[in-house]
Amino acid sequence: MVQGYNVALKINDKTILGRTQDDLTIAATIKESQTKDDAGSKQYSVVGQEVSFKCSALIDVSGGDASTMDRDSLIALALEVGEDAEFDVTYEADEGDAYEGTGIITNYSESSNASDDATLSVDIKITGEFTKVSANS
Amino acid sequence: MTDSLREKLVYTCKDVCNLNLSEAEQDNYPYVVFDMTTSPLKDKDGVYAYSGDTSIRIVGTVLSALETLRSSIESAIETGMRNESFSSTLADVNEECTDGIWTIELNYTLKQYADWSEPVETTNTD
Repeated sequence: MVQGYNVALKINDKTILGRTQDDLTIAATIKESQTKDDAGSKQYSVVGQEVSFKCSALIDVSGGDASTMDRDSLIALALEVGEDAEFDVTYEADEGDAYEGTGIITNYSESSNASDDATLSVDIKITGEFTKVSANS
Repeated sequence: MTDSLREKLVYTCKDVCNLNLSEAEQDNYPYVVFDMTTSPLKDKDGVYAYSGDTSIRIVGTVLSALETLRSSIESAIETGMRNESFSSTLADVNEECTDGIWTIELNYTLKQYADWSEPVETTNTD
């Protein structure tokens, strides 16, 4: 069993400061076909994948360090355009395999109310391939 | 980080009243007691805060005196437990009277974000 805190998404080799959740979604890109011989049943084949992450964290503006990225750094990244908006993504789950790819931020949002800790949410989409690199030791 | 919310609350109110856990209920009015249930708040890197659901009960026979005490307690908590290390939210206030004994109940959500220990008082030996 893998504990949630042992699963880590890293942006440019840094985790998000105050991270509380990292959700990975791999959605298949489907091609649909149907011939008369299919007798009414559609056929589907996988032609690729869309890989995306949804991450949540407590808002922390303490600056981060060599291994963590704070809220201000995330906003700066979310405001980049073109190639500057791309970054390395690494995803590790305890002693399981690690995966990596190139990511872009497709959505960044913050939430704050009067009595709870302020939180942020960031959506990341992998552009290109998402490949297995090694077992995380 | 260690849970020291109770100690901080008692320390914050020490100039206003002698705040004890509810086991210290007595027959000498007025008195103030509290109950607190704490739980850790975690992110993936560990405990980042403690949250305490806190009920403070002010008990006595003279309502006006209790209201004055209540106001002082609220001010003390607002002053002492609203900073980068602590937060306080007053959720609701209940008043009731049974057999001539008034009880004002203050329900707070308190949070602790940093380690804290009661300052050690040093005596001047000069």
